[in-house]
Amino acid sequence: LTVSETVKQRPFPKYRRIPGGLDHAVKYAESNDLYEKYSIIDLDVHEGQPFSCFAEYLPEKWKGKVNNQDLLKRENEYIRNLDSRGTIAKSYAELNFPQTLKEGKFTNAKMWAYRQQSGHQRPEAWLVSVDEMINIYVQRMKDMGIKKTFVLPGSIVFSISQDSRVDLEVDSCNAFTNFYLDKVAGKYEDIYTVLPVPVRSPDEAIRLVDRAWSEKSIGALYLLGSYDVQAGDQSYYPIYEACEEKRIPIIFHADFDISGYFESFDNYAAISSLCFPMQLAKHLTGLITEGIFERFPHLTFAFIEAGLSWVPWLISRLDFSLLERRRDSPWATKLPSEYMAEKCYFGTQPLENAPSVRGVKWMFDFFRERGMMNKIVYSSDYPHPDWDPPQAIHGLSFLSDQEKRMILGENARNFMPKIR
Amino acid sequence: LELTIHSVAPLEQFEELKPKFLALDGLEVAVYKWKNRFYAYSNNCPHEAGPACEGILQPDTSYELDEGKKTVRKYTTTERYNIVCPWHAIDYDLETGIARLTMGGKQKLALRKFDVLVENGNVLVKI
Repeated sequence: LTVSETVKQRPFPKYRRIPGGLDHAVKYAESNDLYEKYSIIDLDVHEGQPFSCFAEYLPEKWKGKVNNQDLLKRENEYIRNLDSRGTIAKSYAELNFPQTLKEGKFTNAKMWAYRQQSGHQRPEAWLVSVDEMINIYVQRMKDMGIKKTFVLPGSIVFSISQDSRVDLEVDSCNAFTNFYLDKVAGKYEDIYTVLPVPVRSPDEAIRLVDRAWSEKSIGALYLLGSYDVQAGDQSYYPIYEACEEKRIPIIFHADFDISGYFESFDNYAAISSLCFPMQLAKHLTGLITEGIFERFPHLTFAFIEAGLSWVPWLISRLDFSLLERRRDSPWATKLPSEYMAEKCYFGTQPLENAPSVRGVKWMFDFFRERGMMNKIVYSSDYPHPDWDPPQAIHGLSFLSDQEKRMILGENARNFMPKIR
Repeated sequence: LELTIHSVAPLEQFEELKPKFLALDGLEVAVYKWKNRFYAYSNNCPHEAGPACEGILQPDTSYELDEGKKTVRKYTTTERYNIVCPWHAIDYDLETGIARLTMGGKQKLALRKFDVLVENGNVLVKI
């Protein structure tokens, strides 16, 4: 179905009529003609579906262990009956992460609980089947002025890096990909995705790349920020080698990482504001200090779902630290800021615009001064509650129209030449 | 701007990789001899104005990669030397004065460099 056909058929009510809807974003998009004028690409929309939706794509051995046919029903019940949220969230964790619970990492379960309590999912995309969800996304993207939408893996792979079962990690990545190839690829115009790969099993990761990269709507590789091992470690090299050869851009997406350093936090606000940027900073620091950009000169990376404010911080830290300690890292032949300005893209969401939008000007000024405006990519994170509509960028008065155009679409096209 | 020629020391007084200093009004210059070539730099680190040339000279750190781009070994090589600022250990290539980390980049951090002449057995710098 093309977008216009989908809209014409109106299989679902328009967004503006959906509870908790998007009237304002839709009106803004219409009055500013975002769809026609800006060719917006949204790099981060999540499927947000429970494991049960992927059950048919998981091997038999996981049946009854990582998914439950009743799960969707129980989650709906949770959304509708907020009083029972504690119990439901715990059972959600028990169903999805029994191993993690058994290993005593109950914080993981607590994270899920808090995620639920904070109204994590927008219900219009949560209480529906996969097919309905994709249809909703197709419709929504036009309504809000977005041309191309990347539907990224959500619950099927989130925190999988924290589970000791590597075979589950492999099967989950394959399940998402098979779901996408089966249900989405080739059926919807302007819906794209990424390829989640099992980092802890590089052979399987490469097998997945070989199998699925030829699908034209898969734009990048997708790695979770929650892997314990930093991205400069040589265990990643086989994956990088494959990406280098096939010119595959790599996305690092922030994830729930509740091991070690963040274990004593049990609220989502702390995890979102600290853990997300720290994870991405960890991996980017690894890439720079282990000389990945010298070893694999064609690799490009995007770092998403940690906003932009951590980037000026990390650039400043890395430039002076490495200058003083180059002997530790003899691979680098230029300042970290230069590698970042050449090879790294950064997602805008969640834009740190509280209490007012004026607070983000300094970040964009920093990027502009460093010639890095071509490295900022718009991402919405819809349907999560900290999502940003396109107007979060389009409405910034201190950006020129050309800069808005770059951030909202052009930069993502440069990052992923395959989907131009 | 007119350049002035300053005498540093007779040639035979120079030892390999041992700088000789020339103190002028508001400027200190270190002159190095290595493999029969001379290099002169301002003793002023562009980072935080530390006395860069009073630091040690250190063989450069290099590395070897295998076919999978993994590091086989890290080692020091006397094929290249670095002037290491004693304040923050920033290492400058002895031959160019450019901070090693910035040699391949657009933004280069470098010690101010001067031309060296050898005339009638004397080492001179043009400042």
